[in-house]
Amino acid sequence: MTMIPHPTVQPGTPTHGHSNLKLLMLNVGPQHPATHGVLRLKVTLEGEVIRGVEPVMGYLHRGVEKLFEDGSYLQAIPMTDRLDYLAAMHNNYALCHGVEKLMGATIPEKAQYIRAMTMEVQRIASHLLWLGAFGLDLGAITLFWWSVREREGAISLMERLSGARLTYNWYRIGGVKNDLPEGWTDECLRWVKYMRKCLAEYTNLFVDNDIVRLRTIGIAPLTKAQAIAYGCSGPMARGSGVDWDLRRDEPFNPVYQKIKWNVVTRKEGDVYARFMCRFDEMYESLDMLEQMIAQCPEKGDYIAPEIGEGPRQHRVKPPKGDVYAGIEGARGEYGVYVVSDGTNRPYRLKWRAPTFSNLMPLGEMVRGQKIPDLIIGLGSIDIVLGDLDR
Amino acid sequence: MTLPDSGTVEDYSEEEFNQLLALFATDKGKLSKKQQAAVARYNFKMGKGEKPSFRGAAPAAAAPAPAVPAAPAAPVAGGIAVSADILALLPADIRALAAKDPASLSKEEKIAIAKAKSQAVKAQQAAKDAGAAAAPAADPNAPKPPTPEEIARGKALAFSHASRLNERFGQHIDNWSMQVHMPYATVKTDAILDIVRFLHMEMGFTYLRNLTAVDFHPDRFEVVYNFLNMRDATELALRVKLPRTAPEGADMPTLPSIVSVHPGADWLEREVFDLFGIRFAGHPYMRRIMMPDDWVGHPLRKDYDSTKEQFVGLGADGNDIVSFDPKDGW
Repeated sequence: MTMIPHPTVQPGTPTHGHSNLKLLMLNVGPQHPATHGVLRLKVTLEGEVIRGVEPVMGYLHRGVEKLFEDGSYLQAIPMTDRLDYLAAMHNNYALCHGVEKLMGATIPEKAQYIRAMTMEVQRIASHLLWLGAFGLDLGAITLFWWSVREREGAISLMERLSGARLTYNWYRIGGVKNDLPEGWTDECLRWVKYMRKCLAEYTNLFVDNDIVRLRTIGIAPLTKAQAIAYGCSGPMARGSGVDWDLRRDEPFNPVYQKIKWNVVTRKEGDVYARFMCRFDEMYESLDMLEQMIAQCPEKGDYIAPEIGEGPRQHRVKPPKGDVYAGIEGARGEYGVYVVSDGTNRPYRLKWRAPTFSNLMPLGEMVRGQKIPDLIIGLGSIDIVLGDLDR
Repeated sequence: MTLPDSGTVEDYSEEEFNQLLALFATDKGKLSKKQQAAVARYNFKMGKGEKPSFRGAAPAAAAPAPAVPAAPAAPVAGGIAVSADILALLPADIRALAAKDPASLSKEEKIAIAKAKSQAVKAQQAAKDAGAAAAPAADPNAPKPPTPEEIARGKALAFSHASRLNERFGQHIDNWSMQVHMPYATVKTDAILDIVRFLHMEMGFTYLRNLTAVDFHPDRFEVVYNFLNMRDATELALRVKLPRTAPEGADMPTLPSIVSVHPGADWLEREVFDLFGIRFAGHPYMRRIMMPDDWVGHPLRKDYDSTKEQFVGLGADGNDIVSFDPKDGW
């Protein structure tokens, strides 16, 4: 088959319409605050109107998938922290879930509760930072100070568990590293109560704000069909009306079947819908946390005794075979494809990054719109460059 | 080349239509309504299993392809009639026995097949009953963990999908196995696009979860596709085995791209191309995505020499240059 050039229009060519403007190629990034990291966007402009966007990535490519192959499964866990560094717990979970699925391991009930709780705390922490950064994209700075202040509560909760503030390295195959410290659930409950108050404040300041609505409604639309075709996941897909949440539809953690909660979906598919999806998800997560803390058993194993902790983790040997496993994280589906050759090292470990698939339709979303719409369109995807480039 | 503006597939030559498909996957807005309609017609026909005829191609009358494949007779395993969906439920070793010539089987082996078959039939019936019983009683508001019957039903659904694919594309499928929880087919390289299109158009596997490759050095590459059916939450995985050496006239192993069906495969295929050196024919923009364009070697291959450092610098034209000399680097 003959190769055809990339559809992005080449700069310098006259446009076909009545306008006598020449096309212009504009670089956004790689070092630019609006790209949330080292992402470069080659934007083709006709005047101020965007005719094409081509994301260029790889500036943060560290070859993690190659590095995974050199160590044991335990040694892979800290490396997953560095992928999506704003939701390190979810990365840990994806890896452990993949290995456990291949081993057919059963996870103790208490470990499942601990995992689900940390997962929701992490989700709120991630969404809060996203919310602040999204405010910055819109030109509002107050929200950033506020949301980072509230995120501190989530971070210190997880610091009490793991000793780290960003890269936790806390999940283990078969469970988690240590039991909940004394009084953690009470502290968590206090923070949940405090968060509800804060979310109400955000609503007053930001969500009900006319400027925010004017800037976001109808911008960078993504249809349901496009979201599915491009493999979008998480709030990105649910904001376009794709009613799919792995916590409900592919129960990787039975705790989510034992509590009452709703999958937040919006039909509009624009920036506002994605924004509201994430915002409402925080309320859902708070509800979930309260129920899970009430249900969580006092006593129980925090790690599967047949797998064991400490050095025994290094000797985890899944049977020969391969499996794909995914979990629902803050940005969407964090998945691993593990190929085991029966040793304690992964033969191949592929990381399915939610950001990678979510960024793909950006060009279609912003075509025909203006540069500020590109910035908030990109902000509404919630990209993390460590996750995109791996 | 300018593409004809027509809504019928027959007005395009094959080459033109391939271009049209590539454009459709990447830049649909450029196509006229008629051209988009042509692609839709094409996909519809392919999903039904008909081969559309192109302009300038030999008339299809020479080799009339049956529009609807004849209903396959129940396959006979070791002298025992086993329907296709039951066959898919049998354990792998029994399936292998069943595929053999009945005359060559011993009595014990025949008994084993019969036993496995009766077990599978019972299990299927139980799963059906459980499904029928569970449906009216289910209260959507009551949260509860999935029962074993529900899990069994999910599995039965996945197997029924697998057997449907097997009926339609059996001759292109080398074998079936399990990816722990889901049916996993090894398919022939040439058939992958047809199978993916069939899965997409007819069976509802519209969501591509994952596309990647594995290097089984020194034997082969395997390209793995994970599909998801969001309607009934079932999964299916496909795998293509490729030789590690490039075929004659090509620089690297090649297989057809599925971008024309799943636009989301675009970057995933580019990533495999970049890190494994596997080319996807028909991809509109096959160039490196993670590594710089001039990088030597494909890092995720098992025989890649990672001790040999390469340095990236900035060329005079603003593009990256790659060199083995540290002085040329940043």
